[in-house]
Amino acid sequence: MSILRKFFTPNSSDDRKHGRHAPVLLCVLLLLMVVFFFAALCFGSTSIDLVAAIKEVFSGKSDSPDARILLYLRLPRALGAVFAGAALAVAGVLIQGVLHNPMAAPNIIGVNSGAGLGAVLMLSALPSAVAFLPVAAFFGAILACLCIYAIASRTGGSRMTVILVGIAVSSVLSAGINTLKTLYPDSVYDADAFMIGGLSGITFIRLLPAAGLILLALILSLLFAREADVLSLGDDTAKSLGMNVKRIRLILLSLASVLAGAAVSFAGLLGFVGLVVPHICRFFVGQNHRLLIPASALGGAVLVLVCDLLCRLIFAPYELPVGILLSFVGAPFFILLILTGRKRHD
Amino acid sequence: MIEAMHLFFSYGARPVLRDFSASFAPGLLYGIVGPNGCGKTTLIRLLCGLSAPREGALSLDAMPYSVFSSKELARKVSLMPQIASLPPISGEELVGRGRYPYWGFSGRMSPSDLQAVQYALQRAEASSFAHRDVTKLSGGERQRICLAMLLAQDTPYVLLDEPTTYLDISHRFALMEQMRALREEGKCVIAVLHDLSLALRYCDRILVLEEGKVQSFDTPENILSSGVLDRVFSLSCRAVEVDGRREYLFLPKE
Repeated sequence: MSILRKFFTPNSSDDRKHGRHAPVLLCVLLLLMVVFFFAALCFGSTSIDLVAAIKEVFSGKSDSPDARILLYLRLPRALGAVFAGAALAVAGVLIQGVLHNPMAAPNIIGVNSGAGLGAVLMLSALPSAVAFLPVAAFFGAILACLCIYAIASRTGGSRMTVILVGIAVSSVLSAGINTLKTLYPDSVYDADAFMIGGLSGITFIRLLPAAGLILLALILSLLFAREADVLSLGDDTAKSLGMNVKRIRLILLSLASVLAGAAVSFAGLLGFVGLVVPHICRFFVGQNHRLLIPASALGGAVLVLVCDLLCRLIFAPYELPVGILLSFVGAPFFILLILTGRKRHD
Repeated sequence: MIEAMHLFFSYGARPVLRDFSASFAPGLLYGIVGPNGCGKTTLIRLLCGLSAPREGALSLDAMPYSVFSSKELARKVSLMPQIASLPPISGEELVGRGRYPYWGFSGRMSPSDLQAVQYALQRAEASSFAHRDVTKLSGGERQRICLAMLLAQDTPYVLLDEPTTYLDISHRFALMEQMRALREEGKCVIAVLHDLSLALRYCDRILVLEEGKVQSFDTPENILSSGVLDRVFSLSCRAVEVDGRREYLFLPKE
């Protein structure tokens, strides 16, 4: 139990340990990501001969069923898992840093719902402009971000107040998505999977623009890691160290919105990655964003790859949307976080 | 020289500073004292550029604050961070963040940054626990880490807002000695102090604030003889000789 408490209490960390183990952890996560990426290509409702299929794909003609499954189903799906996981985890790191609130995950405070609303609005109004879906999702996400931030800073509310307000914002935005779904039933392909978050039916056409944005935003997040570090000292200290706090905060929230928006645009409202992964990574690498961002990106990719693989294998040949499994894992984690946090603050 | 001219500040309709004018010169240790709610913290926030005055002007070395970029200002004026809200990072990492105004765009610590961090840790006598998580340190240790962060920022003007609050008595003396040492280097040190006897014993000049107005701004001797402390704090202040040194006693008003 004490180990559990220690794990769920972010303050119980020794930084000396973190510095030493961080490179090892990053290497392990990278290795895990590669292993599960290939596992995701190999396994599914039918097993395929990966080596032969890869050879065939590289030879230019992919006629056999194995090669087609690899190229059009499993490869975009595995890449989708990597990008969605990395993006949502880092979005969580950034939002939690700006709000000084380790529970402020993008799905909980309504950033994902905002992105979803933007995406569904776009799909309803301009169904042909699929490439601009991540942009529409970005605008929805940043709207939710700024809304939450304004509420948090105006009221000066406690962490829990901000979370509760975020949950309310999230339900309003979800109601918006449901309204659009009812009015334009054909706009969203597989609307149920979109609401819970799933990776089936991903195509390269939908994935590539979003993946490009995610890659760009991840690199920019790393460049602003030091700023995020200084911001975590509190607004006054950051300001007295000469930081333009408003500008940096807006930049970080925008990056988080690009990441969450792009991920939601092809994976739906995938939840809890942005809560679970940053928390576990913080436990291992500490509050240093230069380590926390890459560790969370890799960790998020691994988590979504593993969960998606399980979702395809547990009830094969049927499959669950990966969001269901993530909710089963993430929601109890969130509850534990609230309970242990209570003990600490009261 | 920091010069404040006719500063006004208010939170909503409640005035906090009213027509505040004063100047602070290098090489002196200033103590700001006053009853709770007299505007001490607001004054410190204005002096280090955290807030802008509603009216009036602030200048640094004869140039208005507005001509400095935020990083330029942070290389001139530093503020001791509040120890209550530190993230769970090592002391060394925290002190390194004090070098933020000197980082280039890459955000890498240069050799001179690393040197400044080590020097600051040594000087604040915080080297021995610099590798530990700051949230797990005692109040006194945390305060020394924060002092090291302030030293790492290495500015000619140094501001501290009630730096002795969390410290026991011997650490208070040590911190005041550190502030004196900074003054000896020609820096201008301005501290809000709750403890009147510390202020009288260590400061070169004392500024007494009451309801946002300067009641007196003078040397400790003149402050004492003018009786302004007795009036503002409603108490009776006595100076006594102990082992040939002047000590101060504060008694309730009869």
